[in-house]
Amino acid sequence: MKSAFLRGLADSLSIAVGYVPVAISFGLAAVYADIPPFMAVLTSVLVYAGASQFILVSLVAGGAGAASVVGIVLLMNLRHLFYGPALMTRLEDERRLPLIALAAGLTDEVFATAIGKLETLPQPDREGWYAGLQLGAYLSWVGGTAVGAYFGYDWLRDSAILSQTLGFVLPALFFALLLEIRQLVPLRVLAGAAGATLLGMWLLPSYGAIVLGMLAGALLAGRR
Amino acid sequence: MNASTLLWVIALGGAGTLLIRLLPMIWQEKGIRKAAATGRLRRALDAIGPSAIVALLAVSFWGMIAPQASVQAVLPVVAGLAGVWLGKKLLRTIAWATLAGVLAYGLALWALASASL
Repeated sequence: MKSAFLRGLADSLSIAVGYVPVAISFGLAAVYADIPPFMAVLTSVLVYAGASQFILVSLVAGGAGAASVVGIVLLMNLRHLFYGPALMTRLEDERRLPLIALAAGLTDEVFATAIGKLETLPQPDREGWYAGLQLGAYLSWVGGTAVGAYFGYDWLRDSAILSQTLGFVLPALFFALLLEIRQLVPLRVLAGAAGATLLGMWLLPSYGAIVLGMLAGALLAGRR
Repeated sequence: MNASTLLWVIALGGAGTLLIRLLPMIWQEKGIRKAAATGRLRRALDAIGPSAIVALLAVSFWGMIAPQASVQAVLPVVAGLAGVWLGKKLLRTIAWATLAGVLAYGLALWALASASL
C-alpha cells in the first residue's frame, strides 16, 4: 500500500502542473476582491473545487447575499454527485480507508485521472494509489492558492502573455487526459457528450452544460 | 460581506461540497452488489468519467474561442492542442504533455503579439 501511495503521489504531478497556476490565479483573484489572504487559503482548504471558488469570489465581490453564494457554489458542484459511484466500481469491495477520505479530494481532475489509471493497476494497489493522487493534488491546490494570495500579485502584474498562458493550463490537462482515456469508451459516447455539452452551452450556465454532457454520455453508453 | 459571514459561507460551501461527493459513495456502497449485477448501469457509470472529461474540455475551449472567434484566438489554441498531442506521443506522460501544450500556446501568443507590433 505504501509504494502504491507514493506512486499515486508521483502521478499527482500531472494534476499539480495544472492546479498550481490556476490556484495562484485564484489566490490573486481573491486578494483583488478584497478577501484576506488567509480566507482565500481557507476557501481552498475547505471547498476545494476550482470553478466554484472563482464564482464564490466574484459573487462576494459583487455583494451577493450569503445564502445565494452558498446555493450557487453547491449547484455548481452538483456534477460531483456522479463521480463517487463511478470511482467505487473501480476500487476493491474491502476498503481500508474510510469513505470520507476517498470523497474529500474528488475533484474533476482527480476523478478524470483516476478513471484513466485505476483500470491499469492491480486491485490491491488501487486504494493506496488513489489516496496518494488525492493528497498530492490537494496540497498543490492549497499551496498554489497560498502563493497567489501572498506573493502572486507582483509576478503577474506586468505580464499579460504569462497571465493568458496560464489560462490554457486546465484545457491542456483535459486534452491530455482525453488522449489517455479515449479507448475506454466508444467514440460515439465521447462525441455525444461533446455535442450535448456544446448544445447545453447555448441554453445553460457552463456547470449545467457539463452535467448535460455527462448524462448524455452515460445514457449513450447504457443503451450500448 | 463581513469576515464572520464570509467564514460561514466558506464553511457551508465546504461542508456541502463534501456531502455532494460523499453521499453517493455511501449509497453506492450499500447497493454495490446490485449495481455490479446490472451491466447497463455499470456501462453508464464507466462512461461518466470520459464524458466528464469531454464536457470539461468542450466548456473550457468554448470559453477561450467563442467570445472572440478570430485567428488571434484560435491559432494559439490549435498550437496548444498540437503541443499536447505531440508531447503525449513523444514523452508519454500527462504532465509533460500538458506542459508541452502550455509552452506551445504561450509561444503562439508571443509570436502573434510580436507580429502585431
